[in-house]
Amino acid sequence: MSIARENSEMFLKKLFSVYYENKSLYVPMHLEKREFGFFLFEKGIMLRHVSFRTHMELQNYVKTAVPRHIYYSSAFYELPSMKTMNEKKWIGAELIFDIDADHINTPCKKVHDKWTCLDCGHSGFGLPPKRCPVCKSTKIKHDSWICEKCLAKAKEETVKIIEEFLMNDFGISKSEITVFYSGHRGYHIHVNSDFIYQLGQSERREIANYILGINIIPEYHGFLEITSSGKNILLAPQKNDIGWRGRLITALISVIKNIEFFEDVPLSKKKLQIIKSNKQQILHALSMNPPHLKAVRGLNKHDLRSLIVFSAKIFGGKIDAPVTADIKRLIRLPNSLHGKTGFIVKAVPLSEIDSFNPLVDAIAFTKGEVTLKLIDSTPSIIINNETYGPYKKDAYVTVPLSVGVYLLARGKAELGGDINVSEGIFYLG
Amino acid sequence: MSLNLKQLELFAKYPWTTDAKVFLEKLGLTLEEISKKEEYLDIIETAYSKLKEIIIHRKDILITEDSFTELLSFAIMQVLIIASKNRKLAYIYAIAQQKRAYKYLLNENARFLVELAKKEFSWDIVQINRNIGGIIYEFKLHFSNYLGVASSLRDKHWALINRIVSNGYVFMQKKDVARLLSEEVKKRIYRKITQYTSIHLPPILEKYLKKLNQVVAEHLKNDLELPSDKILLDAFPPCIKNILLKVQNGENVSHLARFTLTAFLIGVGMSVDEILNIFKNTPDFDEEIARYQIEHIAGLRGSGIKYSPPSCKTLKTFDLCLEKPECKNQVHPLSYYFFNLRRQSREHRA
Repeated sequence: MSIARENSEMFLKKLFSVYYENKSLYVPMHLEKREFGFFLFEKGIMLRHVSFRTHMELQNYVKTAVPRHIYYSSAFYELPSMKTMNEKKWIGAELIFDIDADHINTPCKKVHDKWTCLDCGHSGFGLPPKRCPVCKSTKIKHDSWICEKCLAKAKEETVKIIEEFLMNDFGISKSEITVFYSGHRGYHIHVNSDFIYQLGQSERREIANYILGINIIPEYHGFLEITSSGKNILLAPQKNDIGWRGRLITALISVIKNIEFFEDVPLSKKKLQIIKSNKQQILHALSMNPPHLKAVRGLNKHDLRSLIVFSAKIFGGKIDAPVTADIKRLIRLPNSLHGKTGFIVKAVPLSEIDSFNPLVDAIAFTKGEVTLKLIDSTPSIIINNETYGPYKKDAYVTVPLSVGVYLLARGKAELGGDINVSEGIFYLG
Repeated sequence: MSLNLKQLELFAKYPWTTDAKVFLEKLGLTLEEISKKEEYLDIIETAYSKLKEIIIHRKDILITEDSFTELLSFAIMQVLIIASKNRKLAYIYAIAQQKRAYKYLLNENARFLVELAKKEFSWDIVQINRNIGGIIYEFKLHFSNYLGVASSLRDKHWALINRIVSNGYVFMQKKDVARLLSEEVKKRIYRKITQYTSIHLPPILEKYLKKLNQVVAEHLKNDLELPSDKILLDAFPPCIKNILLKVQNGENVSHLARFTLTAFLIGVGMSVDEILNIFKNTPDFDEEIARYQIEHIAGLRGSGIKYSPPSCKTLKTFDLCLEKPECKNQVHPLSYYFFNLRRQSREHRA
């Protein structure tokens, strides 16, 4: 590591230290039954199997160690500091949903996100492909950036999952739901409820699939083939039906209406053209009572079925399924700092979620400036409602501390001048 | 003891209920007493022949005798299975009981099912009468109870997404409630039998156990059958051994566990037919479906991609990793195997 890089790391650590000296960490319920994990500045390894009896113990540990990342277990254990899962003795776990802009295809990704194939060096913009289009390698580095639009989309998705699925379908009450900004590109939803804790992995996987809208079979949701006066028609459910029935028909109508804007409809170009040219006729039949789909020349029932299944996926909540299915996940501790951005992992009360803007409200260091030297080029970023960049590699810039911390933490810049790392140069928000 | 006939009939149908258990306990019969009294010998014989039927024909065992014989033979069958220490037999027996319970539960009315579900399994279930899309739903069951049972059933119509879920409840029809209840019965019986490690039998029952073991040896294959000339079971990682053992014992394993095992066995060079043979013991085996899936994983169908088993990291996430010390620093089950294979052959040479 270069001296400049080393200094930058020390500078970040010093800032984190001041933050932890002054801020109180969030205390999850049943603190003594949780496992904690820490990623330190100095070592590239994760310290796991740590547990605390009191808030004070946790706070003191963090003040001394000043970790780069702090995690705690969604699970409760009898003996959280034991090394193996068997010895820990699992008691139960919160239900977690991870909504990350990385899983949502927003148009602005083509501007600010870049991927590079680690094998052949080929690169492109937007969401990374599963395999490199040139050498078919799966080793692809994704360089993702914070972005107001992506974060707004992730928030919208979070609200949809809470209202549509958790509250309407699963009957979970607001008081059982807590939402946290992840400190980077998304949100975490935690559900705490007596009937949730004991759910195992396959049960949680079912909940994840339900929300994602995958494995849906249209026949079980009122799409039934009947013969009426010699013609085959496909009956559809009603818009105001409960559960996925109503959602599925709403989704299907919306997909047909906007069919031009979807890139990955699993139908041939020819069939898509048929839908486009018969759009009004199809939509009309779906608005009748009872709603139905009539055979259109060139579109068979399998095509309609694929379209319905596709609509469910489009309308489903964009969650990271393995996180939800995991009964012993380590997840970021609220009020800790995200070590790759310097933003606060922050609780967002449901009543304030509409006005919450993480790029303003989750800033840890609101005062002071810092001069940096860019070690990579960056797209423009908006922090605290101001635009910074795009910056070129090797440029020297003087930016507010919040922006500086972000670029340093991302490893895109290093300190650009002699900085006296003393407490007087910055202020916490 | 005062007990009306109707209650005794219920116990004969549902011998796994708490009430039936309490009734038997109150009679205060010990295994010694049962094996000494002439009047019980017929019941022991009945229990044995019912069990034999289950093993040989995999039949559900409907009521054939008087209510008391039915109830007592249920208990004796369990004793014999515990004594046999055969988990696969326990599983097959639990399935037979599940099918039996399903048949009887189907004929009960909604109120009976709701009361039973609440009392025996603490389900949050409500009797309703609601028409959705022309189908009448008689029940709504809390989603956590639903998932507790249905998430282990693989048919797609049990997937939560293919159900009507609203305000915390899953809307259900009678046959589905009866089916899920019968699954609870299976779980309860299997758990109860397998929680005992041994049991002391009086001589007469010991005699029946010997006969039973013979039937088991003839009809229930339990050994690991691998083409040992080319594959070294000893070199398998613990996670794979564990799944393999469960599959061979006829236990139901998760979808991912099946996938992992299949992809691993393909990876070590087994043929589709050899793998098919291993899965033949699973309770809901369907040769056609299984063959299709194995061929798919082997890359002989569909996209043509040959799948590799998940990495240790993924297996850990899905709780399939046993976190054994010998796995330290290992990243993938196949690399573990080949590493071990090389080491063992080196040791052999040395």
